[in-house]
Amino acid sequence: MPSTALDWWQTDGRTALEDLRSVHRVIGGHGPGRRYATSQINNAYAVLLSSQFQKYCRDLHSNAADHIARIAPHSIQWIILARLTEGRKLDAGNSNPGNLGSDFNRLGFSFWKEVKAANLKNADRMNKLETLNKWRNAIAHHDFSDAICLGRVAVRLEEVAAWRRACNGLAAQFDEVVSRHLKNLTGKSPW
Amino acid sequence: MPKNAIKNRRRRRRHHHHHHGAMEIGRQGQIRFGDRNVMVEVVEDRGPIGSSGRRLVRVRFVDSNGDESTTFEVPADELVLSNEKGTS
Repeated sequence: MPSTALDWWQTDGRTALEDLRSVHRVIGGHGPGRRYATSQINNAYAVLLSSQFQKYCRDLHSNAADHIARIAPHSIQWIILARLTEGRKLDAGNSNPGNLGSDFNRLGFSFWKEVKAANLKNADRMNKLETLNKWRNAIAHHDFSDAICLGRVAVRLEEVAAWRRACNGLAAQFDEVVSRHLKNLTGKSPW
Repeated sequence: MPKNAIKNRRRRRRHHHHHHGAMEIGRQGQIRFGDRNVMVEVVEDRGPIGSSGRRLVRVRFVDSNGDESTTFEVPADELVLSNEKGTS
């Protein structure tokens, strides 16, 4: 059974991404006009992917923090939840590997160590997530000076597709790893 | 994933969650902190994303004893809301 956060990612989140992806398909014609339009859509697609994945990660973190809080007496549950979510990086920054590690490590384990150990593909997926978020910042701030942009001002559709596959893989892995950790910690399955 | 499967999962999720009214941004309320109440302001209604679908809200302190720039989450049912938005 997936968490509420993963359920959202695989339904509403997926639909939002598919809607934007479908716009790319319907733009017809040839020449520079079409290329410009599709470049803008590709950039929007990358930003949307980053923001949707950030929401998934925030929701997963909140769900997990609340599960930990609930093993405490009722009168102090909110204090534990507050401390686990206070000043959380995912509330203000994007879901890059550094922010994810910082926030999820608060739950009492070494997040990326566990994620990497869970599947050999996850290290490469983590690198793709880092690249996605660097591009997201470049697009959102219109600053393409980062070396990762290679002098370009737009992403390619196949790049976003690869990042999306990485996010899909990571989302499922995060769910499993966090669930396992919470069960070990509290003795109860969180979802 | 087929569209019908997505719709069914959405329906199950909505049915499973507790339904409370949405928490208005900027609404102030009190929360019990030890032997006193502290005033907080709702920054974001996070929805029914907590454990077993309980509703969470992101808040910040509004009294001078707390760091007003720091936000944190609490269960919505722990907040005792003030009558009007932005007032205590």
